[in-house]
Amino acid sequence: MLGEFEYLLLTAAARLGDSAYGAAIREEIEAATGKACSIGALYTTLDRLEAKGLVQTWTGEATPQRGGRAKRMVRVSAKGAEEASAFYNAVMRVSRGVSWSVT
Amino acid sequence: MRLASLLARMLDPAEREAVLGDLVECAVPPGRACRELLGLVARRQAAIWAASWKDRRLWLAVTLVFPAVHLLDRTALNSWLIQNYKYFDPGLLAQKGLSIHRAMGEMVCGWALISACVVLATAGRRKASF
Repeated sequence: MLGEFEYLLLTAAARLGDSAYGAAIREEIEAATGKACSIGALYTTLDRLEAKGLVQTWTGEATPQRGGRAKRMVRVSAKGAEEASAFYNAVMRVSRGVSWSVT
Repeated sequence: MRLASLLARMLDPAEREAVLGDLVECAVPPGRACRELLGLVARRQAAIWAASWKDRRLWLAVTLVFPAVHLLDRTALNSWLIQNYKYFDPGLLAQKGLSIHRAMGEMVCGWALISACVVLATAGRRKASF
């Protein structure tokens, strides 16, 4: 079973598609959660997901707005999509009939 | 950003490029960039320590090193005691639980064990060189 942050990272990478890389994923997670996403958490989680075979990463091209530095591109693997789907379904199932309205 | 570049030297070259590029692209302020880099370096170091903690060779080394240090320490003490035995009062040494016979016995055992370890350690290398 995925962890919460692992799921967020996989979902952000899947949403970004071919333009998924470190900074873009970070911005996507920060926009979705409204919380800061540290580089340390992002890169160590990426390594873990890659070791589990849930994502593939490779070095992408360098751009001037990055100071001419290369990107670490990310692609969600079929296994990663499966795991994310299983996590999402579990959250949906466990949330059925529960109302989180704050009184 | 200069300090951040210095901190990033503790990362692998490929990761360093990607991380510094991300920090520049996201326009992270220098102070926060340094904190984030320190966090990443700490996580990487923790992962290395965690991996070596699981390594059996580390535990083997720890369990061998402490008895070996104790053995060498006793052997050195006994060698010194035997050399300088004539300067001490045997009665005083006996009060401290020390005697020339015991020291000689311990020293012989110590040297025998050290010699055995050296022979065993070098025997493998000699076989490999044939």
